[in-house]
Amino acid sequence: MTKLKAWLSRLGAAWRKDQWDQSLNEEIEFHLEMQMQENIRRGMNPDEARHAALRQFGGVEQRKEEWRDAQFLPRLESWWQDARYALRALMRARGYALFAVLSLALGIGANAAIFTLLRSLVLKPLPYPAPERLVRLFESSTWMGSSTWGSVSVPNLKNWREQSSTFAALGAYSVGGVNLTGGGETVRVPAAYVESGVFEVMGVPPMLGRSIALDEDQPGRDRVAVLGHDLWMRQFGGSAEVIGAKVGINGAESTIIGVMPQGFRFPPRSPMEIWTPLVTSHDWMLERGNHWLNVVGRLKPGVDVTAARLEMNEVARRLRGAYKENATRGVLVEPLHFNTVRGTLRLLVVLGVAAGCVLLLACANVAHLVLARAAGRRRELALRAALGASRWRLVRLFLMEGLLLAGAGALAGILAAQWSMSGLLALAGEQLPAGIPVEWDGVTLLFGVCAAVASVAFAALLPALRATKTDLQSGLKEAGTATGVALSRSRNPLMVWEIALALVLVVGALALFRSLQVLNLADLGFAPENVLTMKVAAPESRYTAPEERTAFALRTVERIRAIPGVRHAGMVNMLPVQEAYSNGNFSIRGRAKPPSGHEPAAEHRIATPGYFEAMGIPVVAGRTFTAGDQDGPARVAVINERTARLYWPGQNPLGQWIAWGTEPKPEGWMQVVGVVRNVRHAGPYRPPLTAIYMPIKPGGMESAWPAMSLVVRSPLPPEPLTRSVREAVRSLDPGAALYQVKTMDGVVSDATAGTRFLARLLSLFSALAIVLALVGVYGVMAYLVSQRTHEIGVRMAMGAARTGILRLVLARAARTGLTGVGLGVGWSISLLIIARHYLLGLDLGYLWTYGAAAAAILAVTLAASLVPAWRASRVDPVVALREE
Amino acid sequence: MKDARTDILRGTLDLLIMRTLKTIGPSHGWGIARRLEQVAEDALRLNQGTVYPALVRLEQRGWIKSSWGISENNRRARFYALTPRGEKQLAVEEAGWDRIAAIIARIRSPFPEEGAS
Repeated sequence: MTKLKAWLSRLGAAWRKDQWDQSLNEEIEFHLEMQMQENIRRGMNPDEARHAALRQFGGVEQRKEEWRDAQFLPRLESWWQDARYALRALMRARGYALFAVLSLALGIGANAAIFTLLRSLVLKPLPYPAPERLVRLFESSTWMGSSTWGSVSVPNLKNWREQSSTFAALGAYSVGGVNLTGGGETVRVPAAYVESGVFEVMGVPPMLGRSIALDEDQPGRDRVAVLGHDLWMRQFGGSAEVIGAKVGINGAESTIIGVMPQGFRFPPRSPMEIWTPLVTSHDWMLERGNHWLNVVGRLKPGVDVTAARLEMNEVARRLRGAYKENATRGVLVEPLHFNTVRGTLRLLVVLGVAAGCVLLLACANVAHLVLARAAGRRRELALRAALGASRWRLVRLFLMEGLLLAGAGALAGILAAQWSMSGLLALAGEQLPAGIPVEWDGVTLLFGVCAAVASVAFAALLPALRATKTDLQSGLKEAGTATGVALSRSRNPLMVWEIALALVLVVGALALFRSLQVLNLADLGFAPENVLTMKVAAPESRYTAPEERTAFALRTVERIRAIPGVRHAGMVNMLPVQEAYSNGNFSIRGRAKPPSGHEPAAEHRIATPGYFEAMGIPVVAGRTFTAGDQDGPARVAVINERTARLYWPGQNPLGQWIAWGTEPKPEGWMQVVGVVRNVRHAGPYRPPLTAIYMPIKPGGMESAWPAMSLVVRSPLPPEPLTRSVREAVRSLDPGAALYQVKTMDGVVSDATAGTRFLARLLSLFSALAIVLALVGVYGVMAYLVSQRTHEIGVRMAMGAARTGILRLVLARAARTGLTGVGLGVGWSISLLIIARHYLLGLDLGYLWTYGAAAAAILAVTLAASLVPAWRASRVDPVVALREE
Repeated sequence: MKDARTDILRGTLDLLIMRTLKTIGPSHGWGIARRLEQVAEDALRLNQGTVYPALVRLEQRGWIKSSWGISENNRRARFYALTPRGEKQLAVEEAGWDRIAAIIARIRSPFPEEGAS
């Protein structure tokens, strides 16, 4: 207690130091005066009396110091002293300090930025009540030997509901868009078709009105819509009157029944702004083999994901036994949060590793500098030690410097990161989810502090421990000749690491650029130049019958083809590269029925005549679709090369009969009339899938989808062409919506935007790394040369040629560089092997990537050593030998 | 090493200062130093200044308290006085000091009392 009180009193006194000093002086002055008077009374003259008083007091300044020691915290005081000393030392070495702060600012700033993104976009819980209980459910499949997972069929979802007990609610939805008519103009709005269960699962009540009711998924009762907050503000002026109002949705009159609160998103982080009932209007939608639903679920309180998984595995096992369509099917339960952030997390992990490398490099650089300075201060350190400074006290000198540097670095880094965040987000574009506030808070600052402390530990503590591990004698005796050895030995690994780290970043950036380049060279299977695409959505209510939709699609294509300058035009239900995974099993006439789970399978595509020509997909054999294919009972199909090779190896598929499903109806058989080139359906990095194209045809599976992709090949520039197309479609039906207008080149480039973003950011990081490595190597080599000036002088005095000296230094740099490159190549390969799981299309087979990176790094190493080497070769032996 | 030595001195000086304050009542630093010199009759070689760090320490422990007042020659001066806790502490320390002094005296005596050990 007493001790604590004394300590507190000292702490308090530290804040009132000036005041205290003054009262101390006053007290001493009083004392001396009293003693002086006493002395005068004893018969001394005033001068003598004053001197005697001072003598009797016993050294005023010394006493004051002692007094102060008692009054204040000596530890705090000496820390403060160290800090001031370090600050003065850094001010003297301004270039060094500036460089160290900049290095650390880059490293800490890059990490703080990535960390902030991680915290705001990945770690933060989703904005729903009890978000930890939300899950996504998928059907998994071991179809065609590969393990995939995806959408759910209606009967399977029904069975899940009946047989599970771990869920409070399950809700199915699918996403798309609607043509919204309100006030003349028809706009396309991203929409989700949802079951009433979805609102139950998400647990967010509407701000106005109500959400979708249980019985509103029946055709006829489904003409209701719930609006998103932003759409409500934008299109309906935020009026509460909107509840009960009629709007046109896909051309049909619908009633607005509710408005969701601001910030509500469903699916999470999606742009959907309207929710309308999910209606299973077609028979195929009800088939067990048709997987098209997305499913979310809310776990019952107290149930964890593992329990739900166990239960659903059991349910899946029962369903496998009960239905042959489910022979290869399982169930996958995944936390909704993880499902939502997965892509962002992958991106940030890659960036985080890169940023970590930059920070390590920065630390290594600062460590170099600290060591180099320590070497210059060896004698000072030895002297301090000889005068009784403990090793800890000496280490503290270094730590203080490190702390100051890292503190300034962290501050500058965090400010820079905050400042550059908007630029980073802009660069990321759609690669990072939009509309989520990226926040800087105490935790971010804490992260900066931790990064700074870790940097100090690495960049200052280790060198300090090493530098102070000297025995006094050799330190005092040293004349600057043999001492470099101990230091340089510890510095070489650091330099090797630095080179290796820089190499890793360069290889990473090169590999990404390489994968982009490979993509440019890669055969996508079609000719994307001079192709304009857009979605055309017929107003569904007026084109309810598939026949009407199909007729609309064909008429549209006719009109577009008539536009002057248009070479080819056609429609397809899913664009290559952009959309895929609408697939099913098929049968081949005359073949024995394959075992369950091994049926032939393919993507199904519906196309109008002219599609293959417009997209530039070459025909390999047979023919493409003609106008005659729509009429009459004869059914034809075009397959791609992969399908032909896989299911008719060494045979001619032309003229063969195929049909969807495992038990086709007699009228389901289609004759193969053509084989076309493979296209990359599922993105530029995924290999082509098997595919069967069917001519668009009124009725059944081959009727037009509500929204089809129009493909126009024309040398006209995109803007005027888009205008003409829009006019043509409007003249056909003003209620039709045109959206997602893009050139096919744009579609491909969108699909690679993620890789490009990463490649750009990584090249930025690797540029930083190269600069840091360059300066680091220069620093080390310059230091080594300065340490060996004496030795070089001796060599020259003994007759060594200047070129020999040059070679000596460069050889040294080259040795270190080669070791670093070797280590770096090893690291790169292992990192790329890991990264391949995260980044599609990443290639690690290209020797030249490593070669180029290694050559670049070696060049940098040698370039950085050139100036020190040159300086070494200019050494004047006379001066060098005299310089002790 | 150095610390251990000052501790002993410090302890002694602290005791002497508290005893002085107990005897003469509240006093300023010079008064305490002067009184110590007079009582010890120069047998104690004391730098007058050393009482001040000791006073700070004692005050930090709460055994004495200080306040600014007017001295006998009408000057502003800082006066120190024992606190009730200081009185208690003085009693404890004097008892301890007496005990040690007695023990040392007994050991140093050429004729130790029989059976006393």
